[in-house]
Amino acid sequence: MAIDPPFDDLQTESALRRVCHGETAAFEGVVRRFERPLRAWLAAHAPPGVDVDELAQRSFVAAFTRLKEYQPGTDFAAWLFTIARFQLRTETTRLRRIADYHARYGPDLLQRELDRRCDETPEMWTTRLESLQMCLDSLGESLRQFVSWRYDEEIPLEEMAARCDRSVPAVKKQLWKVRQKLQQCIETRMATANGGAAQ
Amino acid sequence: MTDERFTELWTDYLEGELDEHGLAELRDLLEADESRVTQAADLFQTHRLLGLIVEEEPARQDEFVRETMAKLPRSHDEFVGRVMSNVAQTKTARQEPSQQETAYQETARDGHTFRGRRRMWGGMWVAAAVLLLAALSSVMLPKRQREGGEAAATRIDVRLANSAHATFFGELSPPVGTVLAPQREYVLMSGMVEVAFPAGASAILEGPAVFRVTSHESLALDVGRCSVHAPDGAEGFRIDTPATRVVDRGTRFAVTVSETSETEVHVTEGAADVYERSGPVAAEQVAEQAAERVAEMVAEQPVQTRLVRGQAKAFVAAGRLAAQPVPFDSNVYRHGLPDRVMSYEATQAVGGGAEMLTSVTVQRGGRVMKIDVGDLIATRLTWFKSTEPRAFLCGGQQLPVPATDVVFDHSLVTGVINPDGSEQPLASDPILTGDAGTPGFAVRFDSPVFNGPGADVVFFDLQTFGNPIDGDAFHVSPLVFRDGLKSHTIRRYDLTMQSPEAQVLANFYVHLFAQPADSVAQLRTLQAVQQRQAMRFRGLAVGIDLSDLGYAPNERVEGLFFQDALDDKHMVDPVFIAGLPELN
Repeated sequence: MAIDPPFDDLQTESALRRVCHGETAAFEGVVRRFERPLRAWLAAHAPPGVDVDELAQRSFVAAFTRLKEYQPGTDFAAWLFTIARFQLRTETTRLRRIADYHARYGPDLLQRELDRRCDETPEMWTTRLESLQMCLDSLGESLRQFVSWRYDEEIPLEEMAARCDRSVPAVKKQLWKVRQKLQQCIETRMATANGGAAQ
Repeated sequence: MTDERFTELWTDYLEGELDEHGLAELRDLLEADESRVTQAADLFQTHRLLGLIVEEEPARQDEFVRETMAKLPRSHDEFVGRVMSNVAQTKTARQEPSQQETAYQETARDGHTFRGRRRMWGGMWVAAAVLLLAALSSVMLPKRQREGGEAAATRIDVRLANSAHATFFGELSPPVGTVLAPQREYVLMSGMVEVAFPAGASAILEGPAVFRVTSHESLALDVGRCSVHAPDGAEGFRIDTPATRVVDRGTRFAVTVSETSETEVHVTEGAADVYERSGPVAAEQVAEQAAERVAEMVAEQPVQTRLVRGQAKAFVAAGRLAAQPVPFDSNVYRHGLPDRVMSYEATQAVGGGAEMLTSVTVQRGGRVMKIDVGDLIATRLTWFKSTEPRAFLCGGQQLPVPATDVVFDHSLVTGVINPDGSEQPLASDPILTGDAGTPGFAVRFDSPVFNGPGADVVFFDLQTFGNPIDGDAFHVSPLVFRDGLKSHTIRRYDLTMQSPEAQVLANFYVHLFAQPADSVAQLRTLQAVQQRQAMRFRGLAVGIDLSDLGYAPNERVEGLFFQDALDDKHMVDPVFIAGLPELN
């Protein structure tokens, strides 16, 4: 049985050494440590039409197969995210080459804006995810209900409308409101955190 | 008004409900005001993160890790990984816009397509022909047929009826009861599955095998072995191989297809007609057939051969199909899947995860039976010896006094873990007293267990993804040896980390001991430190057949001795051991 506390940098390096010596199973701890920030970063930057989990898994597999290129003792997280950035760029390039991608998937301006944000640090996105969780917890019951219906139960707009006895356009407005409120809450928390760190 | 319209359009976009005109309008609005692009991107990212947060249940994270680990190439099957990664890329590249639109609708709505996505992971070694065929046919299957297959999935109710130690290439084993997608390539790397057809026919496939469900009464077998039983009402059921079509005439028969497409048919009951399928079977042409796979396009020839009970022939397509008699072997036909622990049920803990075992379903002597946990024969820990300090107990944060009373209760998260062991299994009685005591542990059954057909004892083990996927190897030995008795080593569990039936367990604590424990009494009295397990574990299970230890049929057994096999750094972690009741 493994009785491992959450991985720190030393344990990550130790696990990577074991992987290099052929102990594939040791890579599990590495995947567990980085899956959340990696998926969060990819989720926030991948344009529509990209399977985020597939890309995250591809990044881990690429890191595993190229592990000999990693210099032990340096920054594995940075190395992994460089691979993920490359994977994402490859995927978005592929999508761009599909003739009618933007006609089908959405505005190229969105993709450009997401591309522009790719330089934001992965750590920031972990913090953002945590902030979102806290913002969600602080959301009023009625708005949280919409989040639950939409993202947890994944019910159609019509059913949401029936459940809350409102029209579909009203439900759409509520969803807009929820997202905007959460967005503002995240920004406030991030600004506070940055201010705090600077003191 | 413009902003209201933007609000409406952007929400529709995130909901995947925006039509072509709406998209054009949205694009115009974004181009007209750059601040809208920033706002849209902010909301898009929040929307994506919300999708991620609701996915952040431990079980889903576990699944992600599990799939990632399964995709890692292993040195001995690097070739396999390369072939299949090419397949995946080519498939992605070849996706038609309509398919990608489906992907968009999923990703736009959910941000993820983790659930329900086809899984891929490195498999075990298998004949290159199996892989090549699988790879080529995956790539070359025309879209029209894929779509047809998907549409037909709602009409063809062909199910995975049973599964034993099955591992599939590029995906996890489908749970028992899953409707198999028509025309979809299934690459069974090892183990066995039983496929049930609506009219009553069943086919048992043995890995390595590549097969497809082609209709509600036919199956294509490209490579591997398949045993067919077609009872009354299912006559006409057929197996298509690259070179032949074998049509049932009310029978039991076995078909084996080699890597070179040589087909061997053994008829155990009734009769079967063998037809020639058009064309030679060189590898390239096999691939071509895979691409052009339409049953109606395969020209059937007049009956080549009728085989009746006790007959067997090999069919070789070298230009024209040639049949050669081969010795009939009744053992080629498989009547059923091996006896094993098939599944179990347990209560769910408040925080999620299986906790208290309520029943076990086993196949014994070919009979499937669900046994209530209350009908199992309980065990008690009677000996324990370790030579190094480790975590020896698991369970709640606080264990009752004495702690050893609960190690083999019905809980799947209490147990006596990391026992010592030996590379060499015992060949004589274990010593159960004093300093010279044998490392390992002993149990006694509350009442004797009688050696019946199949498994007589069930053994549950805690396991996580850092541990061996097939379970921790252990030796099981008689408490008292006599002539004919021997130790038995279990290296592969019936329910492994890859079995859909192995449940995610509730959270638990391990109790770390600062010094070795060389008796049950010490386990009760030595100080231990509790540590909560951060990782999610699964409950693996295996049946122990007392015949494997040399016990005679119906012989009574009072207890057993267990040792870790010390084949790696991972130790066995038993959480539940019980005898099965005597078969009536």
